[in-house]
Amino acid sequence: MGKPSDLVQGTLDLLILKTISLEPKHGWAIAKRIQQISNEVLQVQQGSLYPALHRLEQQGWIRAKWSETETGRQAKFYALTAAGRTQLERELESWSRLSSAINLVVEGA
Amino acid sequence: MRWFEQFRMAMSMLFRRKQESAQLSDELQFHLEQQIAENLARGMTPIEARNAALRSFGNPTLVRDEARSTWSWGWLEKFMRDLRYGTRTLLRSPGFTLVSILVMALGIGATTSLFTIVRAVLLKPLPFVDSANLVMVYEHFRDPNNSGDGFNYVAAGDFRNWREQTHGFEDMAAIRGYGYNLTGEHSELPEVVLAEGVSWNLLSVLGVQPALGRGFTAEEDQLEGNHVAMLTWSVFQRRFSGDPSILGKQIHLDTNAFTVIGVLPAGFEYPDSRIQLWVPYAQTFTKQMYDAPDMHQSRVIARLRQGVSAEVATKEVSALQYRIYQANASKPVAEDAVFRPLIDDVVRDVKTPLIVLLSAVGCMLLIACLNVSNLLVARGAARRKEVAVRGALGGSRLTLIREQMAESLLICFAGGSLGLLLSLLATRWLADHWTNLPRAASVEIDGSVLAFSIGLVFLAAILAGLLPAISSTGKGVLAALQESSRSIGGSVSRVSLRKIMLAVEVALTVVLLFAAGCCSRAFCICERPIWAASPTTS
Repeated sequence: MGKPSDLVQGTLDLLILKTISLEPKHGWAIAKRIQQISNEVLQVQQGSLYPALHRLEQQGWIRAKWSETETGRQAKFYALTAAGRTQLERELESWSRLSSAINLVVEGA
Repeated sequence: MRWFEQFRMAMSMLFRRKQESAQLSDELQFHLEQQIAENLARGMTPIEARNAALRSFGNPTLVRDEARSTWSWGWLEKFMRDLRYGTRTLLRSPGFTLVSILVMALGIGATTSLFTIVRAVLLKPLPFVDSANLVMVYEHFRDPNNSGDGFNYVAAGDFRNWREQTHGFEDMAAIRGYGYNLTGEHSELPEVVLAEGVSWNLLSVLGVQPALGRGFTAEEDQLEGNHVAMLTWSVFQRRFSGDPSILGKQIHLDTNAFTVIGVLPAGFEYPDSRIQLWVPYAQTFTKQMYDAPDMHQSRVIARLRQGVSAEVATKEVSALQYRIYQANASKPVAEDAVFRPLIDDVVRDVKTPLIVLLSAVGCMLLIACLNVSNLLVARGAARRKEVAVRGALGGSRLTLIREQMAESLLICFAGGSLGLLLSLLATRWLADHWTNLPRAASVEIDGSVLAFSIGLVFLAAILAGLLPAISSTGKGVLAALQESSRSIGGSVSRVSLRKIMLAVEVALTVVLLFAAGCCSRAFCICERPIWAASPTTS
């Protein structure tokens, strides 16, 4: 089971931004979505998810809004801001650079 | 756009912190509910589902704290909490608090008062254009038995020669104290007024414009010139109820009719606040006195010429004065001319006592800080166990120090506020009762004085609080826990700290006493009448 510290440093922000880039989601859905898409490899713990969400919100990358879930309960939905979208692109780019570099090293060796 | 989001969040975090906090709890609660729902869907019993969810959730308080730690204004929240705790602990020992606040109030209040006066008297520029370029020029006798303080009043004849024959200064003006009985045109109730004979160019030398009417002309400043007078703003308001129609009308000075031609601006009191009106310089003399080189009755004020230093200009005047001396060898005529800057001339009697007093109250403030510091150390010994327990439970040293600093800050802030109130009263009293304090009218508490006293509060808080805070949160938590159950007295190091502080306090008190001695001596000197201080003035 992957602990949050096992995630490459700084990628949690990228994962969150990417996950909510299509539609606003609440914290639980973000964690679930990351888990599903990664075939249960990436488990985001609450202890890192919520601080990360709040930090991103403070920095103005994402904006939170309270609305109803399907079950009718009020929940806090996070959506990308315009600045957040630019930030996501920047992070995606740097991630692909980083991961291909790591691949080169790992496979070339 | 991003800065707008950030600003919005910062404001929301500042003003809606309670709501945000509740929403965070709700958000985490929602997460937990979702987990429970999922567990139920997997077929667990409600109790199992709840327990499993709580297990996977981890420590909810920790998650909450970590999320909160990303919020902005965290420092403010901590600071407010420290202040709250500080207030509570201080209220628990009202005697200690009251004494400390009073001590601080005295220290800060006295320092603020003195600073207000020093600032008004010594530091504020004089209310003239380019007042740094103004100097007073005096005559100087070479015979030390005859020279007084070395700055002798100038004879009218000398001044007129200086002005006509030397060109080192931009211009020179003369003033001479005079007194009249003032009555109106219709012989209203007379009053004795102090007047000043001023040469016609004084206003332009000082760079001041009359509030109403005009200044004197060179033609009026003659022995036989038209009798004209200028009113100061205060007598214009008091005796003539601020009615501008007084211009061109006549007043009677010693039964001679003088035409009022102008009014001096409000707040402009020259040479001091007792002067009620100005008359032309020449008209205060008889013909013989006006030409005499040995009737030392005037003061001369000169404006420096661009690019010519006061030394050079005065040297030229001095050379002329020596020729006058040689031409009148049988009369008491001075040999030289000397100058001093206008500001020094105005404050000369009070400069030293003011600086001594300021140093003395500075010492007093230091003693107050040390006193409070000492009290805090003593209190720290009593609270040693509490601090040790908190340290053992994980309170970081920085947090503990910060909290104690908050206490000292609160004491100093309360003391400072009280001190400022005291100083408002004391400053007024001092300015009113300090006879011969020049520029007493400009003594006032304004923004910069306020800023000064706020600075003092923080300085005092650091001075008084830091040492006790550091000493009481030091190493040896375990020792404190073990020791506090057995012994009452503080550790050896704490006792020696208090001894050192006591020694410094005694030393400062001695300095203060010494300064007080000097001060009262300086006061006695400047309280002596002028003729006693300089017996050979005339």
